[in-house]
Amino acid sequence: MEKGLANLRAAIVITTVSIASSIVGSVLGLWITNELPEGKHYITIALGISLFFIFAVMVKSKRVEFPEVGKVDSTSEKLDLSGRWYEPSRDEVVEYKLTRLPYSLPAFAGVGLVASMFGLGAGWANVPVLNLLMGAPLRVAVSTSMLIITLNDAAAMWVYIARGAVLPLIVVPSVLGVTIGARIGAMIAERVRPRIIRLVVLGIMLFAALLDIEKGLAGLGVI
Amino acid sequence: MDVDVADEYKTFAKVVRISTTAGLIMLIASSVMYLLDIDPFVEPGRVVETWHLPASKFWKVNVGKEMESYSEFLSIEHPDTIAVFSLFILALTPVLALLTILPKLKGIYRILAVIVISELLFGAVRPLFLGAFGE
Repeated sequence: MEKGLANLRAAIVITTVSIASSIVGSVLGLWITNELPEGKHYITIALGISLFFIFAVMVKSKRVEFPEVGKVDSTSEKLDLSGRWYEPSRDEVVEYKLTRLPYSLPAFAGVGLVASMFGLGAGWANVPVLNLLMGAPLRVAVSTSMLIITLNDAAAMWVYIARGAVLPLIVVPSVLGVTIGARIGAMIAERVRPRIIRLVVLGIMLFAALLDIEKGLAGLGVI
Repeated sequence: MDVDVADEYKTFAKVVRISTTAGLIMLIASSVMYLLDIDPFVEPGRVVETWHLPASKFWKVNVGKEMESYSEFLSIEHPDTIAVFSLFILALTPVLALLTILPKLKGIYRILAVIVISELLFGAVRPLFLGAFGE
């Protein structure tokens, strides 16, 4: 954030919508897990399939690393969702503008709902919305997505803590891993070439899609 | 080479860094105590045997009652409960960061930040008066 990579303004606007949907999602998630245990597996499979589609769109899209934004819609213009950062691969300061906010907000609401229902994380969907829809450069999309996830998950986790659904034996290693990974990731993300970031994002999306489908099918006892 | 970023960006990042470090130190310390088997609320072995159960059943089986509205924190003397409490602090980090930058934000962003803070706090207090499922 101190380097200008994560767009705090965009994150504040987006999370006004996505936090509300994550709170609803976390309640629905607990309800489904308790009342309709199988429902969770069908939704996980559906999510995996959706991820494949997003993956395909990102593979086919050109200029993902530095999208060109033409006309900026009036809402995004008024909110001044622009930013700049120093891009080492070009050795220059890159300026960018975000657009299509009115179309992106419902997408972020949907992502917040589904992600918090099953604790799936939302990077897989935030990054494509920020990048493909809003025109954020990939490096900015990844950083801003992490910021949005931080805010969203902070809102969604209360219900699990309140209900005693957080087991230190599972959560502690995962929190430590995520924190250490995030700090290393942030250091690497600053320096690595955008093309590599694109490949990593695509790889993670593909892996997450396969994992979701496998998890869903295993949960249903199909495999 | 760094670019000049707005003051609120720097402050937000600083508060997040301090708060998460504090939460993590507490998390690590309590986890070490827990793994050394110093007065756990639920023995690690029992957790492994019963972690497949839904939360309500898990607590009924292990401590004889369900957990409602943060009631786990009534047993804060146990290291595993302290570990969960440190997550509580980590979850409050964005609220602290947004409250700190609130005076620096201008116009619509100040209003939006207040909405985000309210949503985060609503998420935290909701289980106290609505129950975990919102009933």
